[in-house]
Amino acid sequence: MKFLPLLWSSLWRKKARTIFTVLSIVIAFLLFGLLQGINAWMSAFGTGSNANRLYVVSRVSQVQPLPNAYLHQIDAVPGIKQSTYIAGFTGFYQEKSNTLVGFATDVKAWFDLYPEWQIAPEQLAAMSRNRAGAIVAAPLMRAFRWKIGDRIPLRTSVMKRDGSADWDFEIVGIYDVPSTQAEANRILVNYAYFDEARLLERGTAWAFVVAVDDPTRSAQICAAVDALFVNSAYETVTQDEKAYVQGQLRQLGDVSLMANAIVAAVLFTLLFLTGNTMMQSVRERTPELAILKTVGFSDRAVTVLVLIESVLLCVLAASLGLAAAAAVFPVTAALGIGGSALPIKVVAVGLAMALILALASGLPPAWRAQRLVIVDALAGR
Amino acid sequence: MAMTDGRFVGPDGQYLGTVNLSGSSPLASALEPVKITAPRIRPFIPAHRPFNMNCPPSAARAVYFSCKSTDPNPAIKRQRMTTALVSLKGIVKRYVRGKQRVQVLHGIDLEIRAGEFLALMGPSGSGKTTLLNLIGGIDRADEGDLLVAGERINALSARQLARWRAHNVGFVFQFYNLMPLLTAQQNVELPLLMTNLSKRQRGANVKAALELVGLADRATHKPAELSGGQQQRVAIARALVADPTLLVCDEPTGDLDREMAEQILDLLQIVNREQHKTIIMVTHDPKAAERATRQLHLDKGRLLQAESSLAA
Repeated sequence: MKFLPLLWSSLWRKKARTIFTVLSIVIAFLLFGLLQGINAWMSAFGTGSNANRLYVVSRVSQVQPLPNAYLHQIDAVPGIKQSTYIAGFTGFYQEKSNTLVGFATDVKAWFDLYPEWQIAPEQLAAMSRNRAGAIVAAPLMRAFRWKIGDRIPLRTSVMKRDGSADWDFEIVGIYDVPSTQAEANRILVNYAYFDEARLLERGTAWAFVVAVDDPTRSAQICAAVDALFVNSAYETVTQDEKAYVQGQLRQLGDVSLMANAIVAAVLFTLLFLTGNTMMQSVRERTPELAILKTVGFSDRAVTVLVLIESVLLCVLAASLGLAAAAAVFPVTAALGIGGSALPIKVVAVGLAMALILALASGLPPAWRAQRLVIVDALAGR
Repeated sequence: MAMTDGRFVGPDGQYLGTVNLSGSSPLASALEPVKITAPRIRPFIPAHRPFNMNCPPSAARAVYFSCKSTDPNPAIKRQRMTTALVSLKGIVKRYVRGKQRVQVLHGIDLEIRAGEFLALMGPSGSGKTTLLNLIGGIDRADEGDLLVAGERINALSARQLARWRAHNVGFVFQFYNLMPLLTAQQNVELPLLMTNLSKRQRGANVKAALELVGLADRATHKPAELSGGQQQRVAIARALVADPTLLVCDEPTGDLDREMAEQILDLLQIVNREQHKTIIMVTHDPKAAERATRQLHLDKGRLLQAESSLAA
């Protein structure tokens, strides 16, 4: 602490230069936080996958609907225990930023297929009695302060037969999911009601979810399901849950590679920028460093001071950048990308990167300071 | 502080030092802001005793500490004056500049007694500053034997030498060499940062040193907010704050006008007389050299004469 005034004064010797350097680092680490946060969020998809579940989707595209009638043929494949369909909509509640996803399905079968989704049995029973009922994720209930019995008007991407895109549902139940953030903004509605009321693509589904008896036979079952629809108008591809989720993400491109490439380019540029700043700063302070050595600072002490100065600059600015990323991150979640909070792992990796950056950019000037010959420096040589 | 018959006298009438000027001269009135008074000097000495406990006192330091101005024993004072604090034997220094190899010092033999105020004079390029740098331990001799404060400094490693400098030598430069963004007190504190002194102890020493040079009221000012003379006084406070045995001054008045220069020389003289610091001062100015107790002349790397004289 006793060296702090000395370090601080060195940092602010040229205010404008320090401010611009700090801003560069802040922006770089804001970008790092956002990109790596999204990266981490995407990587988390499929980690809680259930090996018993398979997904049947169109071979052409995951967004190409499949005929509902396929379900009966799929059910007949040996080894398949249970199945259901998924259709649905994306929409918002009141404000466009209040996005949510609606799944239209056989709700009872759904909770059998997803035993990790928790719901009270009486609420599930209420759903079968109310065609326009909805079961809502608990985080969504809290976010919008909804309660059971509320009627929720939603503006959706799916048009009704009356020409309106506004759908009304009555909340009859609440479900809890163990961890996956992506499942926190969903509502489940009755497929029968939804399919009957919609204008287009009636009698179709986005995908079929299938539970198998023996996950070790998944590959054969996938092949058997796909064989049913070979050369049909709607060929299928059947995958396990993890492959299905990763496939959905691949539609966005190789986000991880892009994010890593951008971050690497930014940090590499930053290394030169900070290195140059530190080098200039040390060069300007050559006589001052010589005075420190004259009054008794050892070569090592001066080296450490320059390194700490570099660490202070980089780590403080990077912390600001990461704090800004943490503040902005929930906004990206509202746009449907990223989670509600910047993962701690990203913050830790960011700080470690800042430390490495500080040491790498501080080492050449620190080395120069260490080798400084007092009499030459004082004489301006 | 008052000046009577050229003598600085404290508020209680005690003798503080002598300046060869009448009390009515313009310089005497200019000296007033320096405010060097006994009560301000005295706390400075005990404040530094804890610091000196941290470094094993050399023989010369032991002599120095037994010979403070408050010590009434004249025998001890004589002992101090006869002990060689600095001893140079056959000192040779060469520099390599490009392809040129230049010998700056040619076998210098010199002894400087503890408590002396030595002026080193000579033309530019004669080797004055080089000799001062060698004695101060910021440069190394190529040949010869150099003992300062009981330590053979040529044999010390770079780290040991840095530590030795921190404890034994105070430096004053022509252009002050203060840290521009640090306040006066932070500048003065610099040599203490590498010691084990607590914040409170460092603060006490800094306060005493600034009071000694009459700048306690400017402690929070940055160098740019101080005049040249005040900056040099801050530099002197920085040189004194670790209570070193030896003060090396490289043209301390070279960047100052005559009035400011006289103030600084008065201060150095009082530090020499009252604080018993051994001072080696490089100067081009014969008037400044007159303040020293001994003058030495260097020319082309050789000592020309050794002339002893007491300041008026």
